[in-house]
Amino acid sequence: MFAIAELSIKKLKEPAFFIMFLTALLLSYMFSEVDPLSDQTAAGSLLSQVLKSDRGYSLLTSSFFAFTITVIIAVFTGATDIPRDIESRMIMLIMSKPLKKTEYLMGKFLGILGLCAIFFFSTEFVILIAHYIKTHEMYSFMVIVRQFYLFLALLPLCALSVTVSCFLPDLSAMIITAVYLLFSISFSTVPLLVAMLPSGLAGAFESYIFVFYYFFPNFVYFFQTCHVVGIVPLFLLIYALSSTLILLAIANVRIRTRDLI
Amino acid sequence: MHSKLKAGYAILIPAFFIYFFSESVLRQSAVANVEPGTMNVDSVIAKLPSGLREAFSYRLDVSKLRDAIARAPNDVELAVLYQNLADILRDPLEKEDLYYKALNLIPDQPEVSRAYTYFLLRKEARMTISIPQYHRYIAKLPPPEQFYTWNAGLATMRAAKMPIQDIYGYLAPLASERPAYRDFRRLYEELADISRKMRRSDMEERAKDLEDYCFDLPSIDESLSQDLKKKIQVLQKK
Repeated sequence: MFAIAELSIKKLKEPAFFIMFLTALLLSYMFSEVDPLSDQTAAGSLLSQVLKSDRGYSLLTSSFFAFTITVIIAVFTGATDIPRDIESRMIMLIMSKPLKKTEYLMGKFLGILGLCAIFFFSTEFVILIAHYIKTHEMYSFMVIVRQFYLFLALLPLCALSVTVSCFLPDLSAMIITAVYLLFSISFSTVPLLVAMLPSGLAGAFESYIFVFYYFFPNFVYFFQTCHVVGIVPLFLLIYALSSTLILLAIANVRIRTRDLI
Repeated sequence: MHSKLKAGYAILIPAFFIYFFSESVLRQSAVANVEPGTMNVDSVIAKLPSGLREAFSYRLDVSKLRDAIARAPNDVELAVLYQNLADILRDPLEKEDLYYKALNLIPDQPEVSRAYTYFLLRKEARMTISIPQYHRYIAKLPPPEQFYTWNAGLATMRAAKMPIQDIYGYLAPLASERPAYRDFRRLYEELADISRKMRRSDMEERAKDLEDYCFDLPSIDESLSQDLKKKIQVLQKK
């Protein structure tokens, strides 16, 4: 399983990945001093209130930027890895080893997560160092820890791209994952708005919205301002793990039943 | 294989429960960050996607009108609110019931014109207003309301695709009246057109004469604004 993960992580040595990695580091240095994310949204909007910084530690825009770059890597790599193994018959070679399909899937997931972790943490460290170079001050420990919590959002995201890749060929999987993500982001504030309406106003309609909404992980929760220790970080972890588990379970059912030739 | 399936379910079912529960906690936490007072119901609905906005606006409007009905100070106000609610309701039975209540609450009053129009020639409803009954009701109304009620009745008949003879029978009494406003021109134009189709040249001529007569009259808006100016002048003198 870890050997499979290692195969994915080794992609970083490929020139395209390496150039992208260096570009991400360079850009994160350039964007390190942008105002917090809560200042980037329209004043008074729902999102600005969810992200506002007076109730804990808010997310830095540069961290959001690092996250966005990592999302691109997760979608492009996660959605193409398994279909390319199948297309190139590499999977037959791998399956000839004493390895279960579930272990192969978990290896792919961990590999993509590892790749994303390298991208995310490297860009974050560059942001912290750039801030120190530019201002001769370090961010407080709590602010730094809060930025690293964003990594939790990458768990369901990597699981999502791996799951979609178990169903579709590489290009289709990439497009569907991107569309799914965009839809998930655009729909993310709707349940918050519905939750703010007086009870009973939405009626049965509310149930339909939530049934539909539960099919999409809500990434806005990972961006909200929160304390480093408390209920919100704990439930962010639980939310990330549970949604990842559900997505990987779906992927597991698919990969165990599909024809790999 | 069977035990593996069981193990899968044993993991997945709690995972779903945990997912729903953690999402609910995070949603409440996000909502708690919103300052009370900065987001009222109208502004929240305005931020929803258009499809959802319409559904929620409808429910909000209905609930506001139901609250207003519960607090209506008198019968006239109550009848107006019944009709306002009936206008927007999608349930045809409740809609009809509300118009019926309004009509019985203050019969023959100008405020229930929408209820009269609703029941005009509506045979399947619990009550039907015939064309002569509708004419008698219009005759009791003040002149500006008369025009709107004539017009509403015509629109209802057109929507119900009534035969041209019925529409002729509905508009014919207009030919024996002197219009008070320029707005009536449209109705006379319609009457002249129908009369021509029915080869009633005498009625067509009469309708055209009255249509020409309407050109020299003030419109309802002009007349009402003049009345308002006069009232203001009287008040200023006082």
